[in-house]
Amino acid sequence: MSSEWVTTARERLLHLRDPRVTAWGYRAGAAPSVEPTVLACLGLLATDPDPGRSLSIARTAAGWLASLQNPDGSLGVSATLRDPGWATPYAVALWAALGQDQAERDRAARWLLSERAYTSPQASNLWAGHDTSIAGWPWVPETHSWVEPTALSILALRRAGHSEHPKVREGVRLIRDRAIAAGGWNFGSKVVLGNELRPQPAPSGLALLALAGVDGRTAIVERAIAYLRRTLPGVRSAQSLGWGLLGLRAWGERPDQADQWLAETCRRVSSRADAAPRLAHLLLAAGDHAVDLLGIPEEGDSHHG
Amino acid sequence: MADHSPRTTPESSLAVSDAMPPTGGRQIGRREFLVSAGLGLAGGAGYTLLRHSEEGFLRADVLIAKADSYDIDLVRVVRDGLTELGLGRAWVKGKSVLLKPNLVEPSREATSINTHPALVRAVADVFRGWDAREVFVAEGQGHCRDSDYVLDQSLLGPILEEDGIEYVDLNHDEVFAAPNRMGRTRLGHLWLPRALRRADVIVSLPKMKTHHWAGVTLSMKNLFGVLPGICYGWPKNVLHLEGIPASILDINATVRPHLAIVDGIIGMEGDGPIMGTPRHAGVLVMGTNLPAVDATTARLMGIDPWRIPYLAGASGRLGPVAERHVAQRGEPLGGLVQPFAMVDSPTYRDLRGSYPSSRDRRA
Repeated sequence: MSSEWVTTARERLLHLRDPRVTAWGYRAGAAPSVEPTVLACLGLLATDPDPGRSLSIARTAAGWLASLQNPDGSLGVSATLRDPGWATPYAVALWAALGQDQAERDRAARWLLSERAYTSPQASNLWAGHDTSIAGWPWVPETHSWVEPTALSILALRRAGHSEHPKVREGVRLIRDRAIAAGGWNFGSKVVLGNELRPQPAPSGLALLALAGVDGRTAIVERAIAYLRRTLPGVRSAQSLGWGLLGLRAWGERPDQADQWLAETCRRVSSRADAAPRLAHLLLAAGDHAVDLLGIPEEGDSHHG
Repeated sequence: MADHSPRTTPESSLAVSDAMPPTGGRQIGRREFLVSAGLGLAGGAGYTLLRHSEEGFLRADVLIAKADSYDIDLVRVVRDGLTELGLGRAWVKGKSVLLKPNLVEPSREATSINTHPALVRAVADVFRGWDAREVFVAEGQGHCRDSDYVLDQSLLGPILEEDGIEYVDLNHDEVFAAPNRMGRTRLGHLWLPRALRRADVIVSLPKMKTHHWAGVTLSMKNLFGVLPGICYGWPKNVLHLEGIPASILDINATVRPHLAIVDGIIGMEGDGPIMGTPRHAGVLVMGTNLPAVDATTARLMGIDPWRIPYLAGASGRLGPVAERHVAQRGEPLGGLVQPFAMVDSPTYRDLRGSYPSSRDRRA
């Protein structure tokens, strides 16, 4: 990855780092937080022409993450906000990508595997078009399961060696169940009161990442890919574009104009105070090593269903 | 049962509104004081008194303005309406004003989901024209974590950029814990974004919509969006499980917003707040007491406000709901009532009220 915008984005991202702890906040000057820190490290690692430097930064940041871990294994949002633990899969993903902090990673994975979501017997009423008895992962413990935290948890647990765990399999089942008939995923529901909801790029990309290596090119996958192909050309926001492109890459697809879209989005956000998580998303989506870092198997390497 | 109380010690027990005058700093008369007192006392001994009170001693002004489209001079409509309510330059001069639109979910096609950008722009123009120190827009939208995408799809982003108006993503802001001033949910504290402390005046700018869980979503439900997603999720599912009406009451009692301007130019009926049908109503509804504004707007939608649980719960605690306790200004309400279609189930059909409702006649 040699694009000029990548060099600019990397420099800007490094500039936004909190040098006291080698971590990033959602905005410049804000307290460092788990999610932007992990995304920044993965983005730097994925695009580094000289892996040694990024590796050193990421290892230091991983140590900071370890210092935040709660006794139960979870990680909160930041040092001062110790729950809810929805950021835990991000930390697992980085520790696993670096191959360090094995004890912390295992404790975090155990917490994720024990986390409970609110479920109810399969609804037979108008409200929900999905199977409400399937448990994935919620944003906040004991609330409903949603597509994005479920996909992130599947990715992290798979990266940490738990691909065959029954809870991971159930999470995959949830992802399949929540797919919208017309293609892609909304944030959680697919039909409410008989109305099919609209798909969205970020959850669709994450869900495709979670299914990669598990399912073959099923109708669900094909329809989601088609949705992202026709939607991403009009998306210039970092998070949606980033996860959308990564979802396509997990299935061997990369639009010809992808680098141009990423560059345009980078120009739009790089000078903003809240640039760090945005640049991180863009770099991760651009990086040659992104799919490896996230532990995504090559397309067709499906091992269970 | 889930314990959603904070794990960390709250860094401050200061409620957001402790830093603010109860009515945005303007001189208030006795009648307004009584309404404000309903807010100000909600967390303390006064709440006990109010809990056992009827709303008979509460009064509020609500103004209905006709606005047929987003292409008319909305600055004039908003400015004239606020002036009629006694709000002007002296009310906002030198103050920091937070505008809270309703941005639920990204969709460029379904423009009736979100507060129209033209109204946000017009309100900002009015307050800037009245020498507010700053006007910024803030939202913690319910479903989509990607604020940039929501702003692009709602078409609000380009307008804010063009006008140089700052946008604050409340979902990812730093937070503080504020004591829950009403206690209708089990939440001992509410996590609130720091941007609320920066604001002297908080303005709720909702869309006039039906809501398949709450009945209607107006200025009080819009305040769900000030709670940060990093604490409550996307959507704020913690609040759903605590009960939507109870959560609406707790948030409003704790945050204590100062003004509401409802975008009823084109609202949404049926399966709101996302999948419903656009409905032209051609009105803006505004006032400083949010329960009174929402009750009036519900009446305009042909919905009996007493059958909306959060409004019934707000009566006498956060403001007046009965029509006779709301001083109607601007356009007369009766001629503008146009029933919004409700979700086709007995529960929602029961929200439909005749105008005026039997309870209004008794109140």
